[in-house]
Amino acid sequence: MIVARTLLACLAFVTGLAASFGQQPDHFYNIDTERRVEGTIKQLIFESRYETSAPFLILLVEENRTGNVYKVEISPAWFFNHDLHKGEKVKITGSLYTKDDTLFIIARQLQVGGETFTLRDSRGFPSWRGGQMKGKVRRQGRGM
Amino acid sequence: MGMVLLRTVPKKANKTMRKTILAAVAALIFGTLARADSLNLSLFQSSTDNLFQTAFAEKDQISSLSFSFEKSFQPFSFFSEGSYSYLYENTNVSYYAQDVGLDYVHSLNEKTALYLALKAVGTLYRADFADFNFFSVGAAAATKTYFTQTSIMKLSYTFDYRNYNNYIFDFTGHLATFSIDKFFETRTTLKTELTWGYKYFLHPFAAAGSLPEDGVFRQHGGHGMGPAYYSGSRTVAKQASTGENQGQGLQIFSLTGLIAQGIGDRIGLRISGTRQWTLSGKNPFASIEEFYLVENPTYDVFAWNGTAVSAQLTIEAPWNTQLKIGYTKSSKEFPGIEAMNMEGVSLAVTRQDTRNQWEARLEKNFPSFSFYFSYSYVDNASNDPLFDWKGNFLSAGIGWNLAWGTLR
Repeated sequence: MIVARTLLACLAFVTGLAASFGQQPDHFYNIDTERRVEGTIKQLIFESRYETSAPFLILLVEENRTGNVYKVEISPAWFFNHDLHKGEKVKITGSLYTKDDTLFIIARQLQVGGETFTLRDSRGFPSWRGGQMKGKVRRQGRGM
Repeated sequence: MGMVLLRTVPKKANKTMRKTILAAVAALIFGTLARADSLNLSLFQSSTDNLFQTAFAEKDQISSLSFSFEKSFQPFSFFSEGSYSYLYENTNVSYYAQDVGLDYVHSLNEKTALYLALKAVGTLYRADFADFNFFSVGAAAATKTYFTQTSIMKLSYTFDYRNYNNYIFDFTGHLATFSIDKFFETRTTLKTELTWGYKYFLHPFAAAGSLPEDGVFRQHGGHGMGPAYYSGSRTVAKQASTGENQGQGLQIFSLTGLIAQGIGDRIGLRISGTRQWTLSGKNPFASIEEFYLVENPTYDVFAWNGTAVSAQLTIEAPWNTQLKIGYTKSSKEFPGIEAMNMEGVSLAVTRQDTRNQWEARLEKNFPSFSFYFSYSYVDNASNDPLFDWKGNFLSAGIGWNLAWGTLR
């Protein structure tokens, strides 16, 4: 029970600390600029795109049709459970914006290796997918 | 477990602690819900012809309603999920589960990221299953590193402490994994994973003087635990050999190999194999069971050693539909658990199960909700005749991702 109390205290402390962080990021998902890109991953980078934000996984994706290179933002935490590599073919649907002559896409849906991953719903709101501790209250009872 | 244990095993006097925890969790949830970034509601309807997964199959249907939400306090993220499951035939197994936690992601450099999380979980069953009510706290840490752009190394550790209404199930658990993979231009991925785990039941043995003359608790059929017409009995808790507060640890190690292959643009195939060893210890209970959708602390990844191989085909079908078809074959031995005959008499051999399992899952994504359908068939052969069973499991569900808060 001492362990439980200690961890609960830590949880409450960190929650209180977290409340002091309230800044909104300076970008948002714009469904009016949504587009779909089919291409190949050329590079992967962990990067904090915005001040105080958690790191994004940034994919540099070369579009098959045009040869354009996009910087694709994959949401924080999600990438811990899913492994992407240079050379993999991907289909990305997301919100496009341009900054300093660079093409950026905030990913909403990612298709790779026959699997489809939905990171946001069709209106751009983040879906309930996240780090490895989330959503593990499943009652499987299968021992594996 | 069941009514017998409920009456004979004294419960802990920790009501004050539980009330404090419930109040804290409620304040966290409702305070954050008002400002959530995402809110998801889902409804699942499941059906099985073998709820308790024994030779005495019992049908039931389960309705589950769950909500989950997330709020980002960059760089932290608060998350919570609650779910209520109602069983139509075995209503006393119905339960409510709630988790709440925080996680944090930090990039150490361009190639390495760190993930930290704290989580608390509580589950409440109705009266007959109250022994399984628990409160849990856990922590996780993980790092992910791109060795090269085509090779990923991951290291993770999770800690879990659970406090049950029936003290014999209380445990602490540690699980550490290391994995490394390599992607090739042929669209082939090779991956190997090492897992080490240690689970320590804090006081799994029955208190001295609380046992019948033959030294064992017995679980009888009925009471929602199993089929009422089950004529045998099962030992659940043993008498401690050196003292009633004696603990029991189980240490495991496993090696997993995986090969994944992309076929065309729409098909993925993965084949994996796992070999697991019990490095030390054995199950402290005389019999262990698993239940469909109901977590049993005596039967989990720590309970067995053996092998498992699986194959999964993922097909990206038209109309934004995804189909997964899988097969798993496992052969498990449960150290410390003796197979018994239907009368509950030991057969003097360690329990061994061989299982064949087929699964199919279909997912269809619509603009603001997703539809799921899954089916699995399990054929479990065991040298303990009670656990020689077959079962069909069917589930369909729908999930809504509600617009909430502001876009980001």
